[in-house]
Amino acid sequence: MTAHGAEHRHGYAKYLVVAVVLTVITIIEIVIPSRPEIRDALTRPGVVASLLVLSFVKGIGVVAYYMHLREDSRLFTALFMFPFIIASSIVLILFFIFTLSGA
Amino acid sequence: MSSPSHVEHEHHSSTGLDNRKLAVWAFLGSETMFFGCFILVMLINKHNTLGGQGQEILDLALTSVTTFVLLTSSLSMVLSLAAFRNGSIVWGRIWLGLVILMGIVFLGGQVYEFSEFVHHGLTPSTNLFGASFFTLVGFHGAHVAIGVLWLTTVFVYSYRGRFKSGSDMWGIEFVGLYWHFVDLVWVAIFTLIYLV
Amino acid sequence: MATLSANVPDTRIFSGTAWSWITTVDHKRIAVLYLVTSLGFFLVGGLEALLLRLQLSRPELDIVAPDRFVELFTMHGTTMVFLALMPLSAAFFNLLIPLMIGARDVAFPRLNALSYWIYLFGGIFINISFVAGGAPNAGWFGYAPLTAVQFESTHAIDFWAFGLQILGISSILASINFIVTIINMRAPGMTLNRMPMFVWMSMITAFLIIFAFPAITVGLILLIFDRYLSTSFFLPGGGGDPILWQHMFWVFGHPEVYILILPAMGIVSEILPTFSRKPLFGYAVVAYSGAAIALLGFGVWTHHMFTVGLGPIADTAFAISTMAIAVPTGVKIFNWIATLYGGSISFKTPMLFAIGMVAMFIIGGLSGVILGSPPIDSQTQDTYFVVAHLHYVLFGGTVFGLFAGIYHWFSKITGRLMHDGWGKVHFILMMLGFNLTFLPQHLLGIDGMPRRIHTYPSDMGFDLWNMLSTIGAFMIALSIVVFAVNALRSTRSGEVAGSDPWDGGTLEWTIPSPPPVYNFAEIPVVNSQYPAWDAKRGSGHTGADNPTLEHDPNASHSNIHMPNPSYWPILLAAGLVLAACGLIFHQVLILLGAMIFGISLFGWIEEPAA
Repeated sequence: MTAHGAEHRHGYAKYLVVAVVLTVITIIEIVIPSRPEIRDALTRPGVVASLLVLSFVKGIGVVAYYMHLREDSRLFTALFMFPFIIASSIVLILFFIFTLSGA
Repeated sequence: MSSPSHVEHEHHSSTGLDNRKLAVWAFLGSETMFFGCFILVMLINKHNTLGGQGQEILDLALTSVTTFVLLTSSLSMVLSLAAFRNGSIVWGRIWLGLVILMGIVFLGGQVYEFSEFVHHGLTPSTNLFGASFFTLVGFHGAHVAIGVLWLTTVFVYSYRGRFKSGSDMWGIEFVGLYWHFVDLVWVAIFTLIYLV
Repeated sequence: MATLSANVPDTRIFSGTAWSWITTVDHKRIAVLYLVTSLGFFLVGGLEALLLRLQLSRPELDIVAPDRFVELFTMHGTTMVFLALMPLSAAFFNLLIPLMIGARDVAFPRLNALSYWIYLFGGIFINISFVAGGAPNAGWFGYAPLTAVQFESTHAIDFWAFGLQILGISSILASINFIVTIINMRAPGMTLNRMPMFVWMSMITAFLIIFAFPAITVGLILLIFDRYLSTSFFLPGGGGDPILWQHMFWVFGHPEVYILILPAMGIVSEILPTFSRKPLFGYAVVAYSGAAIALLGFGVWTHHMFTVGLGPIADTAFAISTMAIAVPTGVKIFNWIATLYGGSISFKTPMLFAIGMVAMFIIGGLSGVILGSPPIDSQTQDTYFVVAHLHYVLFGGTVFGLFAGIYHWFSKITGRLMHDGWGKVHFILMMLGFNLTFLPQHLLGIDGMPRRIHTYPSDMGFDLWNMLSTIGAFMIALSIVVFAVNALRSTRSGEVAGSDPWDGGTLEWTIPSPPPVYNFAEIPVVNSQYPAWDAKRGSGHTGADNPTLEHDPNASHSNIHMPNPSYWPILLAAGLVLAACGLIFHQVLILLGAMIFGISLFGWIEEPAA
């Protein structure tokens, strides 16, 4: 890795921006289920959906920027997304099997 | 982790990527399934509270603090890597030390949370909520603890002349990938268990 | 080909001190370790099977008591799957992957050795149970709540649970190693589409392992917690669900059966072209079918649970996905047949086993599709029909494929050929014995004979088929004796093979048998799927010892540096398994094991990498 002063000062800033965004998102996530007026306005499915979306965005922030997936070879992205999709699918399928069947 | 050829130019890589980096990502893929299964069990048993307490025992305020700590530690981690790559070994160590500190604070928060729950009557054997919670969050905490040990090892090694030249940053990068992954899992846990 | 000259092969691969074997990081030697150990466990599992068949040969026999019988079928399954078949595949991964891709070793040689030692110690660990309170006895699938501590208070289940965790670690580490090796260490010019099909199947298998094993890892952790931390994940009394165990087990268990068959399919995909003297038909389709099977394999697990009462929606969905997975499987079979068609067939022993594999796997696959129908499965679940199916695919498929591989690549390891005549005797005996054992079991299942029973009454109509099945089992045993004698004698006095006895098309046939420790004097440059055939074309139909392959001009051939041997892998493995022993025997061993583990870890890190 060649060290470019300018490039890495630029790099520091990028990470700070990401950190601020992640923090703001987290604050929003905490506020949503904590404030009754927001909870009722969104209704339960809305709360769940918004929290899932927000944390998914946070996840992308961590994986893409902190873990440098965005700058690295697509192979690493595939190596991560593939099991993530399999795991998520299996979790979803089993979640529905267990909750819908009332087992 | 060794590669079969010591001589750099003789080591041929079909993709131009580092062997160990590929290995770390493959391992993280495996860990994704691992935590996915624990999260599934937690989701199934979230309302299985017969015999004890459930979500109401969770302390959102405390956990929000520990969540911020872990999130910030990820920032410190990536800044540490950037500093080392930039040649600023001193700053690299400072950020790394902060990661370790924040990891320990997070673990402290978990220990406190666990002991509070036990004090209030929720243990792994009380009900399925308790069993699933302690298992999932416990294994996550174990991963954080292993991460702290790994980070400490890397920190000590930074005093032994490693991490001087560009290609030698792998040690920092790999522990960083592991640490960010552990943070990522916490993002999922925090949302699915504490918030939803 | 200079077979008439006194070319005694350099069998240094088998010599060397015990210490050199203990500290080896050479993939070829590790392959030999895996081969010998897995064949040893294969014999153990086979012995267990013979005892089972003996007990079932006639109605109401009393040769094996019920408690022992349960242990036997549990250990037969566990041993065959985890200690025999998977490691036998690993032997081939170890031997062939670097040779086929033109590499000098795997990506992480010490990690490679570690995987072997963990496997060996883990296998010994599980089998200690026989003399330490009783072997595992809840089936190879360990259904809850039979595994609960109140139903099995001895350590039998603990040996099983901890043992599988240990073996899982071995497999996952090895798979990460092979994934990196295959992705990153191919010779110049060898794109993914020019890799030998065995390497493709190995890569897919490795991915299956690292993504499927975590499910059983988690399941076993939950089981251990149920047994020792008073949780109730699988116990209804505490609010848990035994079905959760079944799901977790089969989310792993179904990909596991593809883990077991894909390497054998890869082997067959190499042998059929070689002995038909033409390339594999539809290379790309075969590769993508393998990938499709792996992917779909994650979506069919509930077909093991059709009779659990999940409801019509779940049953239908998984029945559809199960039928769907037959498609890419069938595609591969058609491609193999098309490979044979129009070829110049040579019926040497490897070819016989390969063709036998395809034929038996077709039968096993068909019975699998039958079982994929929930209404039919409701009749055949837990009967001998399932036993017949699984043995046709795992024995007829995997074992036949692996034996094909042993006969085919034996000379690459030892420098000598196995005796082909006796190989044919082995094949005929095994073919007859295998079909005699398992074909009648289809009928037994349809007639209603349940699995896992230690005897049966004499008026059920089961008698004849059981007797035939037992006779078949002993025929299989006889064929194994033939194989063993052949293998041992051929190692010492078999016909010298030279580098290329079969006129093969892939890179491993371009180097001496056995290969030098560095494999390739110069890393070759590859331009097609069959670089050895390319190089030999026009230079004689028999494999020349040094076919003219292009070489990478940038590769240095004066300073080939191979990784040093190391004793840390065996120590690390010992520490790990010692700690596991501590969980069962005496807690002080946990501490001791952890210390050895920790010291070995740092010793490993401190040791220079190459």
